[in-house]
Amino acid sequence: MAISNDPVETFRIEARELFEQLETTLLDIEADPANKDLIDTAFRALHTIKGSGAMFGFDAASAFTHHVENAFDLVRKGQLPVTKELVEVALLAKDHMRILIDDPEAAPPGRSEAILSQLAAVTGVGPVAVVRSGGGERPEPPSSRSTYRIHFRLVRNALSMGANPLLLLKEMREMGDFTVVTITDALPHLEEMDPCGCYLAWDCVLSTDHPRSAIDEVFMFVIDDMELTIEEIQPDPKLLGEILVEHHAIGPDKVEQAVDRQPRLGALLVEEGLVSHDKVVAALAEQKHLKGEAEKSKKSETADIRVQAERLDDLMDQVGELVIAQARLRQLANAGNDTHLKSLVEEIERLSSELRDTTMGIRMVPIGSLFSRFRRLVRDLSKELGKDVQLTTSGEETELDKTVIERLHDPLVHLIRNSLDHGVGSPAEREGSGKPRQGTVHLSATHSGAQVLIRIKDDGRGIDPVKVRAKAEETGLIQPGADLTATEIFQLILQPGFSTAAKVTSVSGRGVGMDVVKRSIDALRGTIDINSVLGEGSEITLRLPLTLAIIDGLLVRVGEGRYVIPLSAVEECVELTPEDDLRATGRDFLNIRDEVVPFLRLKSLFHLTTPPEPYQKVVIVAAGDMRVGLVVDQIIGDYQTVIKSLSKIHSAVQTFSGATILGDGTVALILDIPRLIDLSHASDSQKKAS
Amino acid sequence: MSSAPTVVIGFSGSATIRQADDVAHRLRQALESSDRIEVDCSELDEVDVTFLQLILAAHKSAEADGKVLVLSSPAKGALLDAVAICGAEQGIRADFWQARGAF
Repeated sequence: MAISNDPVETFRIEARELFEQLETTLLDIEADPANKDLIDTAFRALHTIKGSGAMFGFDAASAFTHHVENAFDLVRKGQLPVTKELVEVALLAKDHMRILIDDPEAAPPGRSEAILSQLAAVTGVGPVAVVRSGGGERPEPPSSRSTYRIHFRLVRNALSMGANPLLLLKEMREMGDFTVVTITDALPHLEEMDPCGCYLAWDCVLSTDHPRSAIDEVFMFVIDDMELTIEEIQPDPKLLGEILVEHHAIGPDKVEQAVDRQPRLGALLVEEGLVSHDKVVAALAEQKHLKGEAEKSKKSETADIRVQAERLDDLMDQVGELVIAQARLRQLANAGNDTHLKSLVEEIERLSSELRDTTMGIRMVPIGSLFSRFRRLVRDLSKELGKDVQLTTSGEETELDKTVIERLHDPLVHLIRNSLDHGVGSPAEREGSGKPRQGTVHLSATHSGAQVLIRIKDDGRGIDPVKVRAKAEETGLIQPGADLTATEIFQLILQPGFSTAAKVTSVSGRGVGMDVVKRSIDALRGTIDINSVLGEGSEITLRLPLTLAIIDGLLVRVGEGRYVIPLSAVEECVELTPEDDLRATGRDFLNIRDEVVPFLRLKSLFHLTTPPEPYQKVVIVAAGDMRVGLVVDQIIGDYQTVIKSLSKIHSAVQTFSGATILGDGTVALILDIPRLIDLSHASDSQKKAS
Repeated sequence: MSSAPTVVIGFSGSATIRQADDVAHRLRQALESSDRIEVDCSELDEVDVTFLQLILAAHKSAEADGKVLVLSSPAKGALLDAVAICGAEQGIRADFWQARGAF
């Protein structure tokens, strides 16, 4: 990847994030039109896109965004209501802006105008002229956030002259985060008061992206004779006394004297009559405001370190090499008798294992970013299909390797589309079957050991096993009358060329899709479980490994060769007694705590001719609900396994998912547990049939 | 507490600089006539800073004379908006605008 020294590329990356945020916000606004914070967030995002777009020469995008920003400015000021139409056109506009920034050449001609006229129809405001860059003035670049302390007091007769301090305060409040305290010190008793005089003063703190000049503008019309100070302050939370001194409310010496008599400085100063109650309140409010600002900037400091994906991949590779080298070191140390060396090796082993975990942690991304992309999909799709479907999500904080997350997008799109198209019925149909008109698709993610489970659950029609069976027989996927469980029948959906949809829609039903999903999930070393109750809905569970790079494995020996079994799949190890071995010949089943578990003899599976050893072991592994025993000659122990994928020539090999390099430099193959379990069940069925 | 009955004065419609003299007059009268004054602002549609000043000044005077002046119900609508803009819904007078305490 080109190092993003290219500012335009950096801008594109940032814009992409802004667009995602904008989309989420717009969808939130649609659900909660009264939420002012959301409107502000949308407005700010648009403002930033416009401003920085112009800075980086995306004039078309900037000019276009300007109109949308205007519309949201009206909404912010309460002059334009939030309607479904507005959100709709804003979403369209967002998509268009994205094209204008990602690839301006690709933007369809006339699209900008079409969206803008649609927008004008919603806002009732004609397109506003924009200053094009090149024509002189550029939109002001977004200035960085600053915090100002503003103190003002109008002249006594200002109110009679038509000044309205509430409007001034309101204007400033709209510029950013605003804290204000009214100072009533000068307020006389009612008897002595001129009802129309202005006695109040205001101490404000404003943190804003606007430049200082914008604050000056607020006071432009009342500036004559008024008391006004505007100063920029650093958002370090200050001590109360420091703020009071800076406000010239009290001298530093007085504060120090009072500090000696802690603990409650504010109360003490007021008691002493050194400073008014209002001033203390104002200082406390400022302290609180600055604390909030400092935390905000701290947050953005820690949250934003951009690292190229390639560097993380490199780091992971290097950690992998380190883990392999460390395994060799351990082997060497164990061969000798040097206890110092052994303890050092243990230390290095611990460190490299921690380094491995940290490195994997860096690559972990919460799955929420992926989930939020589907909200738009569900919204647009249910509209297109004339259905009313809401997407609910849970477990957004669940973390997965970023590569896994990226590669999950397409399969999940397929699955969600399927749910909407085949699963959830039309509102009328749903009402007819006694369900609420609005269907629900629930997307969830949970941890389960070294796996992450992602579920897509809908409350739709469910899958009809009879139909699936009929279709499978028709297409020759299964023999007519084959003995299959419901789970096995549902798995047929994943076969290539299978589709039960009676009619083909733009969304699905072309018989591609589910097999593509299966292939993508297989490539991630994951599995797909399908569950469904006819008439109640279906649930598809994707089981995915946490990471693709390094796993904890169990190293075993079969004959001369060594193999790795992913530790996450291992349930227990038992001994295969010679009696069991003999009895089991022909029908390979073990009785484990009254449960019958089939087992596979890896030796015969791998066509090894060495004679069986006297003390064979069975490693019981599980995938999903199924358990299988694997007969091995020796269990060597746990082993940090760096997964190397097999070459293309070996890609057809079914029983291995990869290989790893052992401490002595030899290669061990990694067993593909789900495949082995399938194999065992297939041979079971054969045996039953014969 | 004296046995004088609570005086309730109500303001409705607008209470801006145009009505300021009238508002001040009524508040002064109320303070003179009783030790306990309840101000009903629930019917106000429009207020400006003069009204806030007058109520605060009346409150200050009442306190100085050992009298009690409270709102009959928490500030809402136009009054609450004005109070909020001034940042007075928090801080020392929060209780006053919330019509808490007193009585």
